[in-house]
Amino acid sequence: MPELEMDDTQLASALVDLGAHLAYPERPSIRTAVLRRIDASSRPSLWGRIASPRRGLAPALIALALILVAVLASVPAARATAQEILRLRGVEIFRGPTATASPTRAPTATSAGAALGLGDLVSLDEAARRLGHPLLVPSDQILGAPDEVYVFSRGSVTEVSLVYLSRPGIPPSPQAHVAALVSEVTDAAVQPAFFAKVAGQATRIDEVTVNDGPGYWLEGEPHDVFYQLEGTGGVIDEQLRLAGNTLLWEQSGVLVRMEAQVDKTTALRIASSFR
Amino acid sequence: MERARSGDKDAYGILVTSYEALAYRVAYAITKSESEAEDAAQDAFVKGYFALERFRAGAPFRPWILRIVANEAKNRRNAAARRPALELDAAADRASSETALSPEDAALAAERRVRLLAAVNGLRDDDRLVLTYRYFLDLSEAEMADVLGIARGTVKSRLSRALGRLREVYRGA
Repeated sequence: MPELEMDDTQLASALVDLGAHLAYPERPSIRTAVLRRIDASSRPSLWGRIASPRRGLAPALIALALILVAVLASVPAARATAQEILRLRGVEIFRGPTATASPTRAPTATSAGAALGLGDLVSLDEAARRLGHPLLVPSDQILGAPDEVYVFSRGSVTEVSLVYLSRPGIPPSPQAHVAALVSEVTDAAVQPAFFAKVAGQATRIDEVTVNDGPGYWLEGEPHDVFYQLEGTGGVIDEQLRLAGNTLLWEQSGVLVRMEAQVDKTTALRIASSFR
Repeated sequence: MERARSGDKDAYGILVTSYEALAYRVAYAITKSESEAEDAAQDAFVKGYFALERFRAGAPFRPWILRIVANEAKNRRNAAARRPALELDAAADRASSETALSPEDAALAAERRVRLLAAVNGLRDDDRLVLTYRYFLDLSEAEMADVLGIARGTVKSRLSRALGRLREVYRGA
C-alpha cells in the first residue's frame, strides 16, 4: 500500500488527522476542587505580593489575564473543531466569545500614543532603526504622514506604531480618539511568537491579498489584540486599541496591522499604498 | 482582566478552566489512567498557585503549568492499573469532514487511523509521548522541551526518531 511509504511530512499529517479523531474520557471540571484546596491552605494574599515591588508579580498577572481569551480559544478541543482558525505567519485568528471594548480612555494632554500605551515616542527614522527594518508607510492621501510614531520593545520583539490622530472621512475611535493606527512587527522578531486575535461571532473575517502578500480583513465587533512569545520571550500585551475594523497583512517581511473605522475597499486601497 | 490584575483567586480559576483540558490530556498521556490524570492535573494547579511567586514575570503560563502537570503525572505513572492510552472517537469519525469522501475512501481513512493508533500505542513511552505532545495535543517544540524536561534543540531529534520508529511499527502492523 502506498501509505506504507509515508515520509515524515505525510506521517505527521496522518498523526494530526488521527489526533482529531481521538476520544478522551469525559470528565468534570477540576476548577472548583482546585480553588477549594487553595482556600483550605493558608497563604498570604496576592495583594501583598503585588504591593511589594520586590516580587514583581503584577506584570505576570497582567500578562496572564491578557492571554486568557486566547487560551480559551486555543485549547485542543476548540482547535480541532474551529474551522475558522486562520493562520498568517505568526498570526492566529480565532473566533471566540464576543469581546468587550475597554473602558473609554480620553486622550491625555501629552499624546494619543501615550494614552494607548504604545511605547516610546520617536521619529520615523529612529523607529526604523529600532525595528531594524525599513518602515512601511502609506502614500495614500487619506492618511498621509503619521502624527506620532512609537516604538515598543520587549525581549526580541520590537513593534512600531504609527498614529493618525484625525483624518477627514475616518471617524475617530471612541476608545482612543485616534483615526487610524498602524502597527508593524518584523518577521524575524515574531518568529517564535504568535499573535492572537479573538473575534466575536459577529465579526466578519475575509481572506485578502495586499501587495501580493496574504492578509485578513476583520470587520464588525470590537476585538482584543495581543500576542504571546513562545519560549523565553514571554507575553507581549496588546491592549485593545481602536476596536474598529482591522486589516492584517504581510509585506516585505513585516507583519502590518492597520486599525481604522473605514470600509474594506478603503482599507485595501490604503494598504496597497504601503511602501 | 482587572480581577486577575488584582490577584483575585477567581482569576486563577479562569486560568484553571482555560488550561485544564490540555493539562488533563498531558497527564493522561503520561499516566494512562483517568483518575491519576485528574489527580495529577488537580495537584499541579494547586501547586502552581502556590508557586506563582516563582513564575517569571512575562513568561508564558502554558508551558510552565504543563511542566508541573507532567512532573505530577510522572510521579503517578507506576501506580495505577493501565488501559490503552488513546482510543478512537467514533463520533469524531462521523462528524469529520470526511462526509465529502466516498464510503470506500472514508473506510480506508478510518482503517488507517486504527492501524496508526495501534502503532502509536505500541511505541515505547518516550516515543509515544513525543508524538502525542506534538501531533495530538499541538504543543510547540518549546513547550515540549519544558514538558519533557529536555533541551529545546533535542526536541527535533526526538521527534524525528519517534517518527522513524512509528514508521517501522506501522509497516510491521
